[in-house]
Amino acid sequence: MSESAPPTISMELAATDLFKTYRLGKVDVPVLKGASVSIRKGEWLAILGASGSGKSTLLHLLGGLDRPDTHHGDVTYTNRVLSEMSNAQINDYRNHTVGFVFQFYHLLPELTVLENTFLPGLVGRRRWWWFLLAAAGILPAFIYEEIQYRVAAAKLRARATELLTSFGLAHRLNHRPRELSGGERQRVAIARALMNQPNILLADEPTGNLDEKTGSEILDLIAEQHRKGLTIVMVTHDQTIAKRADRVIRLHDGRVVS
Amino acid sequence: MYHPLLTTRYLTSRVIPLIAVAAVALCVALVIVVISVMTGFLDMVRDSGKTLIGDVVISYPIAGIPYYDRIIDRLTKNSSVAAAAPVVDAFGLLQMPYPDGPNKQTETVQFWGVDSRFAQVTSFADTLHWKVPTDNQFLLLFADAFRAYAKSLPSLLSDDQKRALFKELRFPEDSINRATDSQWDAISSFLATDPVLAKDTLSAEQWATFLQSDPRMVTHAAFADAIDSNSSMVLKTLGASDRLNVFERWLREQRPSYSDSEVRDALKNPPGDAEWPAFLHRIVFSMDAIRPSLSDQAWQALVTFDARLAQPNALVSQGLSLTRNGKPAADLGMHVSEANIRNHEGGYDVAASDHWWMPTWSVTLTTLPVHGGTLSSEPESYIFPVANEFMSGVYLIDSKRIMIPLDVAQHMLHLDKSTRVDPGDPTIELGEDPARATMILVRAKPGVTADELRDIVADEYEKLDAEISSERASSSTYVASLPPYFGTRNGGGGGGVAIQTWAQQQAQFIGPVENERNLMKTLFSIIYLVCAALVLSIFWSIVQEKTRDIGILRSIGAARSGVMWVFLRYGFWIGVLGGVAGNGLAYIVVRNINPIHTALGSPPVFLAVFAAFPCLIALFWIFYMAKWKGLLFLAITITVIAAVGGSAWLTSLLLNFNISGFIEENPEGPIGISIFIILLCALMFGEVIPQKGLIPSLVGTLCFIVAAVVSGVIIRGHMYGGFVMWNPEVYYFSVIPNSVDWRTAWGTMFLALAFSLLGASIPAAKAADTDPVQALRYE
Repeated sequence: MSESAPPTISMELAATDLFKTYRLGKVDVPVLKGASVSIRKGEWLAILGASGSGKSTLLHLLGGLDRPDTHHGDVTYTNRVLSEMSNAQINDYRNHTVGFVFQFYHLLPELTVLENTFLPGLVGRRRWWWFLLAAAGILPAFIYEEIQYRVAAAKLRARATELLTSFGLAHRLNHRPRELSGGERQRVAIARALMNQPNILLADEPTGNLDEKTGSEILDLIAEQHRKGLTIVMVTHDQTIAKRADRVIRLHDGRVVS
Repeated sequence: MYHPLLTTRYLTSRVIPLIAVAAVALCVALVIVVISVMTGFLDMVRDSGKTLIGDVVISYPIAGIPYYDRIIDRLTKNSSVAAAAPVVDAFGLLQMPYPDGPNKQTETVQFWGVDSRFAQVTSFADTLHWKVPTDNQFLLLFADAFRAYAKSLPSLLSDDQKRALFKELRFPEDSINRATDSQWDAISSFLATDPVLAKDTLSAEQWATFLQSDPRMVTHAAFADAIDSNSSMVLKTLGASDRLNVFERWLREQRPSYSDSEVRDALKNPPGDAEWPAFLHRIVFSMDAIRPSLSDQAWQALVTFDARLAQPNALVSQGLSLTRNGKPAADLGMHVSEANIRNHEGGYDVAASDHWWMPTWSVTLTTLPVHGGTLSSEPESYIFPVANEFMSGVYLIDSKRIMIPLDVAQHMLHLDKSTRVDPGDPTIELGEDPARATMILVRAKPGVTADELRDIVADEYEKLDAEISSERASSSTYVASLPPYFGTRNGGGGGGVAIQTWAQQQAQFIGPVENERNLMKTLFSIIYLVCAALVLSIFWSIVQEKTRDIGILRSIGAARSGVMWVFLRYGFWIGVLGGVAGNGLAYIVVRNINPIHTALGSPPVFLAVFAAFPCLIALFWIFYMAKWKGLLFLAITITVIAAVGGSAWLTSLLLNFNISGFIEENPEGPIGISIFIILLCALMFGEVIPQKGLIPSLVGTLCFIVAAVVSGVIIRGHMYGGFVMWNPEVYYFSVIPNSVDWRTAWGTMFLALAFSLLGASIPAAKAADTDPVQALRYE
């Protein structure tokens, strides 16, 4: 029995028999129909699939951004089942354990490059005394937040600057995202994803919006993080890009086919 | 922790929140301005009651209250009463001395007979309008008076006086008897600017005669006499620091063109001890410089030396004592001549330079006395010189009331002391009928409320009533009876005396104003809902637009509550900023409400120029933003409007239809039509104008039309008179109250904040509910 069981120790993230159905108006659209995947620690996994095959949905479920249909599969992160976590724990999981990179970068337009990068560092759980302050009045809560923000921002700035400098964006720190090229924006997005030193990077078509040269530069950047030991799950429809990964699985019609 | 960062960025990098702040600010300002004016109005009604009639009034109109002096004696012995005063009031006709010719102007007036006690109960003294002129006004008065007087100078002056003058002016001394007119002009102009020299030149009798030409100069002249004749004593009293004070004040008064540093330089060289007698004589008319510079001790020392100094306010005291040159005189509320005119707004327009004119003629008051319940067939008339004018600020009173001495009023109304005879046999004398007053005004000591005082007064009145009743029973001669008191609810009807607080007396004024204010408060609370709706709709669109940001925040681990908190914070800041800005705006508007109102009533031309400025900017904007096609757009719009207007005008001509009357009655019609035409043009000619230029040229055209209309309205207002919202004939007061009601202001700010948060909470909840996957799905 014990020999046939999967080696759970080395499995960092696993999804078993996931079902996900979206409702479009009155029609139920099943996107995932029993997809299973397991990712080992330090592995670079590429999920290859045509558009509409459910690969983005799978990534969202792995990242805890969405939940599978009830009683239809589970996502497990090192023995902890995501659907059993509380809201706060899921938020913390998204904040600390995984980092998302999207096709369309998804940077906040009002913030500078630096602020966009250290934003995940600012997101954290409220301490219990915050609620005391808020109960005492809205102003003490504001003042507390304001002070907390200034104290935290000083530390985070250093880390974000370091990250962005290593990504070759030292001269762009105080620019707004709209002033950046696509490749630069994606590098900022990766820096943001790495801000809280997550264990897993979840990338959704990270090069989908870039030309070939910039795309391969981005992949080089991801490969470098992978070399440093980061687990990477990358979704793509492009075979050539998928080849950069350690392992490729194919998703077809909501199921893993290979 | 990311909330402060996001809120600040959202607030500062977009226009929409600014619009939200502006909307909240306008709502807040609107509420504060309206409530402040209403509250100020209410306070003014209350205060005016208090300052004009005291705290409690005992009144028994027409027949009057006998033994009022005994009542007042009794009352003033009570520890709660500060002062009490008798008043005789009735109505009469006042004949004014103008215009020239037989048809003099006549006014219906309410006259009050008062004595010196009146000013102790009310703040009558403060309302007197003729006060001692300032030093600078005195110089102007003196110059005017002296120029008139100087026409007779050649015949008045003795040879010695002439010789001294000629020497002073460096005219050849031998020319004194054949001096030219221009030389005399120079002399009179010279003396007119220098009262000290004029006084030195004229003999004592000439000076006294000259001073009578304008009583307004008397106070300064008396002061100068007193200082001059006691100069050595004055100089002894003045210590070194006093002297420096006098010198500095004199510099600042008489050398207004000096800058601060020049004054400081001059102060380094004050007159030395030896020069002071001469210097004091030079500045002897500078009452404002000398009097306030002295310590109280020094002043007391001087006053004990010369009593003339103790009466620096001859005009006010003549107004208070209602005498002029020892004769009974009247204080008038309405204007007394065409030179100083109380204008329509209730203010005071002074015709001659900047000082009021003091009439020398008299007014005639005529009334019909009522005695024993029957109207006398013989009218009583009395001629009064004018002692002073008063301006209480209450239009109703200022335009209708005159004050005359109590004894004259009693005499005119047959309320004075007389002998009582037997109605059956007039030869039998029954005794003395005492003088009567129709009102007794009572002022409370500080800390005693009007209601408490009323009970005390009623109590004292009843005690005296009992006392007099027993006198009547025991006395063999006639003793008048006090009118009975039927209790606090009695308004004076049914034959009883009324004892009322000022608030009860003014109830018919205060009641409606209070109601009106409460109504306003209720109506304007709808504004808060408007505020909430505004914030809600603006925030709804902001959240709609920020959906992707919400998705991003959720993807990096932000909680639902955190996202909600971002938008609540955002709403909070919009409420705070809007509230503070609205408060500031309201403060500026309320403080300057009177100038603003005046400007609206007769807008100055420069405002029209100001309004025309945006016109030009709008034109420039159209030209710059939309280039030639924008101008084309403007031209088309104007042509269409002109064509519609022209055809409307033609139609009105043909059909004999009064279009301007129609527009005046229905102003929203043409405005609506214009906007419709503009929008139509925008749609029709959208093809002509490149996509990029459409919005700027539309905005520019709208701005142009609004600015043009505003500027046209201002010019029209300037030419034909603008809006008068505050008609003093309706609102009793000549000025609009201009103090901010801070309680309302804080309350409004707080409510605006609360409703901003309320408005923000629904979109914030929507934001929290946003599905991050949906939000991130599409670019």
